[in-house]
Amino acid sequence: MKVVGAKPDDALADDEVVIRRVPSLQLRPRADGKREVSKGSFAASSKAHDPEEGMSVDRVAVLTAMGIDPADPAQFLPEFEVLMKLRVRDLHAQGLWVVPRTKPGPAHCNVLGVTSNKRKTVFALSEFLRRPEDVVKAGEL
Amino acid sequence: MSRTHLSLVREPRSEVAATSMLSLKESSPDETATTSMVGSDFADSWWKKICCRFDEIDKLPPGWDGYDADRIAKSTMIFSSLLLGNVYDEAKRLSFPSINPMSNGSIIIEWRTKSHEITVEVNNTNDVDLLIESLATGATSQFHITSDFSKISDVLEESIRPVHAIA
Repeated sequence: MKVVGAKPDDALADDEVVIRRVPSLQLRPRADGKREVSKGSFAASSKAHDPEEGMSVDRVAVLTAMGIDPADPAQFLPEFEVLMKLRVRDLHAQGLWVVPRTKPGPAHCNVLGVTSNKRKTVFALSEFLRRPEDVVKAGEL
Repeated sequence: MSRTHLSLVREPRSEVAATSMLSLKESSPDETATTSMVGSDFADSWWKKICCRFDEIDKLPPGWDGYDADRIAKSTMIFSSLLLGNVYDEAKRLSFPSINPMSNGSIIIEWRTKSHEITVEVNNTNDVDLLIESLATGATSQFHITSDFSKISDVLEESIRPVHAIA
């Protein structure tokens, strides 16, 4: 895992927003009938794919410019019922720099420094951009 | 026998699970519900749920996370199954764990009890990270594990004990 230091020159502006897709397979069924998102959904890519080992996210401003409204329930279905929103300002405040990496797509960005220790922090910062009614965050009623 | 080094001794049930996993049919929603069960059929039911979950994970295509994740390696799933076999005596007394694939190719196994949040990340064979968080204090501890799963057994055992209020 790349150790994150000073803010990279190409880091996104603080007022931007990114989203993390949550595969429906990662939603844990609970005894009360709800499904929950856990911190395991916030993992970096493998080093084999990404030497930077960043956590992949999508830049909302670019999606919007491409005519894609991520809040539209028709987008990203059926594999991704849940989209989590992260404010770049919040990530940067934790030293988790968000940088554009336009492969595999123009909206793609990496969040740097998402180690297993930081995963819970990222999870706590995340909010639902869209979710089915039965989905909650782990630890919530 | 469940707290031995995996390289030396394995529980018979673990081997059964490892060899039979990836071949079971998909589970129904009822079978994957998170419940804590008791009864004589408990072990079979518990292992069936484990096998069904790994079967689901094994079927994931490349890019399953919406980005560029690889398929989860079979060796990682088998080692995860062996690990669960080694902590079964403690795990069976808790709610069924959350078992999920991660974008980095690891398997994450999570238990949330009244006292602890216990996270086990199986990166590959003999490469496991254990993260323990006390829900009362927020204190966290992290350990790297190769083949001795006694630390996981211990924290699961500890989390089973009743929580007493401190005056």
